[in-house]
Amino acid sequence: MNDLSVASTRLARNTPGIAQHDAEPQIDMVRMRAWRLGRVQAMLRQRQLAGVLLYDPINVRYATGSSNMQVWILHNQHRYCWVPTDGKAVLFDYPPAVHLARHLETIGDIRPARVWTYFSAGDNYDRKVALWADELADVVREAGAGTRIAADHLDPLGARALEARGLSIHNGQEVMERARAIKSADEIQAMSISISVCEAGMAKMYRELRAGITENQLWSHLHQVNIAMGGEWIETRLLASGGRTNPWFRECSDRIVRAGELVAFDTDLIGPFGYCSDISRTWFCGPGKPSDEQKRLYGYAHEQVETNIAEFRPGRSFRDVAASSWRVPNEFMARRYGSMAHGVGLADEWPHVTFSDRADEAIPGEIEAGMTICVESYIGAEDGNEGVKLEEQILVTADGPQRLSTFPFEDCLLG
Amino acid sequence: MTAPASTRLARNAPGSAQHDAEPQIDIVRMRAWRLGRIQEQLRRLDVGGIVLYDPVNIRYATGSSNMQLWFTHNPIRYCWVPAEGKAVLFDYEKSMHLYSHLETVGEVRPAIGYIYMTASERIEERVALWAADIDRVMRASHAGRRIAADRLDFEGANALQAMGYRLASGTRVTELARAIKSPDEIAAMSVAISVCEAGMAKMWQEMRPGISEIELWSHLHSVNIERGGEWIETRLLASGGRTNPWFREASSRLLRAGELVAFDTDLIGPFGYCADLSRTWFCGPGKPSAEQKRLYGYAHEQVEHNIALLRPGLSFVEIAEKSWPVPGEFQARRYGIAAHGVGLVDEYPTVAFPDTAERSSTGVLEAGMTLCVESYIGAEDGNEGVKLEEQVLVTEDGVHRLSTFPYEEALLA
Repeated sequence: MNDLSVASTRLARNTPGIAQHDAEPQIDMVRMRAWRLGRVQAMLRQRQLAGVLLYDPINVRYATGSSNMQVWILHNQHRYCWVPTDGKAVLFDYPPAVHLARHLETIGDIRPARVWTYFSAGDNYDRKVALWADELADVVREAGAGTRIAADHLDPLGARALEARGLSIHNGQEVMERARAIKSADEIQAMSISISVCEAGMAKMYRELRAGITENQLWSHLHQVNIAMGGEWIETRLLASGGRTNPWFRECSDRIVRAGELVAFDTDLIGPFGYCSDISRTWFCGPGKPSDEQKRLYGYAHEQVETNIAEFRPGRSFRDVAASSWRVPNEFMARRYGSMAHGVGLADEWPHVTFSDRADEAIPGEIEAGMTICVESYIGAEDGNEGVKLEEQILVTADGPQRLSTFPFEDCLLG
Repeated sequence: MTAPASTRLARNAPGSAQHDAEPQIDIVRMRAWRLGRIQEQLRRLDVGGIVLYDPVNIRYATGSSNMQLWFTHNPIRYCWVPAEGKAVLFDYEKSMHLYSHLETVGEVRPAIGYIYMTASERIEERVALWAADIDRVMRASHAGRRIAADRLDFEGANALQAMGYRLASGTRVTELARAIKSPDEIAAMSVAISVCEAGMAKMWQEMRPGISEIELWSHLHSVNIERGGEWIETRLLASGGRTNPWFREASSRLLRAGELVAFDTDLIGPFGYCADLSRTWFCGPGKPSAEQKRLYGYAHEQVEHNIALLRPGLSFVEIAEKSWPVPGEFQARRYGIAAHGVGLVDEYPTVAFPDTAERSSTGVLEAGMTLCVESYIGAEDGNEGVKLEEQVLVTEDGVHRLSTFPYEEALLA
């Protein structure tokens, strides 16, 4: 029932396989890395920055293509990267793992990271920060492009130490989010493979859905398929059934699904190559037939997503897109989703697009070709039992949106 | 190898479902212990309170958990824990309904985020709103101007400093608090280890020539999630030559008969507790080579030697000095440390090696600490390597083995 025209599903239907092949056309990984590093450096140049210091492992992967214990590194600052405005990156890798990224053409030098978390440095952290800052300040000076640098995330202790060495620190999240926002054709193929894996996991969950399974058991199939096919992690645990679907944002539990209930989920899946597949669906657990109320909720959510997908055309301001987007009926306003749509790439990304009644608060800027967007809906009433979550992932092109996710909506809930 | 006394806690790990008649983990008492530990450290260090951004710290202090991985790299959910009184949770505005029931939380307020992803060009405006809001909350708890923060982006830190706040190290507060576990925490950790070992058993059954590393690894994820676990921190499973040097993550490589397969679970299980165990297996058919057994024997000796050293009162430097000296041929590729703390994730302290003992954490081993004791044995000119790791609790009566999955007889022989 979604608009899966031949033209709008061309990219999805031509998703390549994952394995290397000697004869088929494939993703050009070197070209993908060059595109991404080039995007970062173009942003740095525009802002007259000498470079960017990256701690977020997702940003490090974007800029260099290197990946190392990504989730652990997310909360243990034991690995970082300096990306100068010109030339190759310097990767400060987790010391016992400096052998991992040596082959990458984006990286000029790999050094052991200097770590000053309390976990690692204990009460010596002041001394470790000084060593860390001395080395980094030298690296910035050697780059010879000035002392204005950006940082994506940096604890105050580190920021003070760099400032004391004559560097000025600017917002690196803006640099990275704007760089990441426009995807190359290689990136779209990588994302499309990630979505194929995600939809394979969803298909497994669909087959396993039955009265008596717990939310956790059902959710485990998405994890299993993702990992078995080369995916990496899942950002949230958003699968809920029955009354736990309303309000939204309860994570999966050992609640037993009953016949006649809705089951809703949001994949938030980081698949192969680290690309995100962020798709939501709501299913009916049989035996039995959906109630009129369940169908009413589903119909609204479907209408919201489909109406709003058509809004994403290059050149339109975020404000205009918000202003002309689907108006959420009053009964669902209080519990509607946090945004109407958001960017997606290696994880959730900029931009966030708001609702029609908040168009005045929309962020500046406009939709561009090459942006990948997740279009959201949550429909649940304050006095309702259940709610419906739907979400589609699309690519913006000059010829109209490409549907990157193509898993079917539910006929029995649309009917 | 493992006396009844040392496995008493493991053998009495409870079930994780509620029961009307069995003794269970007292979750309210566990939360009270953990909040109390944070506040004790705050008072000891003369800090008025702490701003927490790390979702693992927020969970430790309050018991609340919300899209933990997503918030780990999107710092727009935070918490204020004063040295006295209840916490104030600044939750994502659309999920403020989740934690109004927690007795550790006095108030749930809408979080004010200032990351570029959501704030876009309004970062300065958002930082000002954030600072004014949290300043009101901190003043209301009479915290004074000396506060701590575990992770804070420099924009926020600058705003607080401009208001006259002085920021102390927050991870010192949280790591020292988290280091000592209550019996409720140990029971919760034990449940997480039971789930982890169930996943390992599933992998053991599925291991065969022709399975890929990622297919094998998927079973640990599947069992963890099915049994109420939450995520896995790394993807450290490697086979054959990918086991040496260590730290290559799982790939599409197919296992061959006659190879070693090594993994490190780094698993966050039920209740958010970490089960951090490593094992190395032989993929049959066939028999392990003399070289494979030699590597395994060393790794086993290192882990068991170092576990036997652990007793309360020893400094971490002393433990490192007395720890198993890694033979010269394995020095270059040995693991980063000999042991580390573990709780909701990897934690303070770290213990180094005899020749680098001074790099160990400052401090002394205390009863109630849980440690992971590590080994990696692989030679620079070797093909394969062996990774082993056990999780233990230190008590006045000796070491309790929290992990009890068997070692490999075929490789020990």
